[in-house]
Amino acid sequence: MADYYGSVSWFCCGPAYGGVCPVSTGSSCGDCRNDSLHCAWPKLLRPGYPNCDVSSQCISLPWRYCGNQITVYNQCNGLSISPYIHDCGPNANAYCNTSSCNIPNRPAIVDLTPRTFAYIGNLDVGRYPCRVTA
Amino acid sequence: MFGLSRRKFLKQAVLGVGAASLASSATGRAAAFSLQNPADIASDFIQGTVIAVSSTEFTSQDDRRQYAVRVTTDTRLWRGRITSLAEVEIGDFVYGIGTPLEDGTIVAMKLWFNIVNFYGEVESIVGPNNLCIAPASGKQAGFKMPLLTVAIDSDTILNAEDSISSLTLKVGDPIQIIGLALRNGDVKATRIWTLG
Repeated sequence: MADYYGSVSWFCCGPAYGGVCPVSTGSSCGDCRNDSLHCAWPKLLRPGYPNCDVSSQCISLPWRYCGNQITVYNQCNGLSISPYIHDCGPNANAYCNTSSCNIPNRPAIVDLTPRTFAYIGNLDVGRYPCRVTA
Repeated sequence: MFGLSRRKFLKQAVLGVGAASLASSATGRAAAFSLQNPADIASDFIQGTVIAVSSTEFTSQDDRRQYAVRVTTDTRLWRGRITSLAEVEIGDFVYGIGTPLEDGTIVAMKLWFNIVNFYGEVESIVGPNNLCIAPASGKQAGFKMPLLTVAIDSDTILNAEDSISSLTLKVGDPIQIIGLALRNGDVKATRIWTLG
């Protein structure tokens, strides 16, 4: 386990345009739930299926599996939570230099389900700088 | 999927769908990766559509259940701004967290109604108060997505704390938009994060 620095936002599990998002969806791991302590990690190993990596052009992150647990620290308010990886994203390659809470140049490295994000921040703020132990 | 309407996109964006999920769907593979702790299932999470509302509580319905949500003076309620239950309407979509009671009622701590969170690029700037946005997820997925009209005003926050005007942004800028989904299909941006 090591620490990685980036920014965190929230998302809805599942394929980006697969219809209205229900509580339970497909997602890259097949079982992501918006009402659970789940998250998306941008470098995902999926045995038997194509791996997902949308971070290597921006930041060196470790490969993780569906179901692995990480810890996300909100560096704006000190709150933290330990969700389980159940999807692939965010696109750190495309969003390599985000700024939030007066901390610049942070890649987007983790997305949390609405429930998970609500514990460490406000959905209407939408993005915080974070430290992730993964 | 190619014929996705603007209304349908917004309904997804309200639910946060537009934000991520970059690999192909693995529907049907749940058993192979079913590592979820049953204790994680939320009893304190609010997600659904408002089907009734009074001065102190509302009823939310999702795809599994229907339950009452009590709003108190300690509840942080967002509907485009911090406001009260008086502005909530039947048909609104809600996310929130709170404390569950034995009778199934949830006493709300934080609530968000009709919130939108999506990524996109500035396609054009229409006067001082409107942006035309090309949603990013459609581009990533190879879809031709409908453009969205996003309204901004003096209350719209750019990044951490600056107020915004359309002059602050330029065509092609990648941005993340947090806002309120309006009934006409447009979005009122309450916060814009510049990305890239």
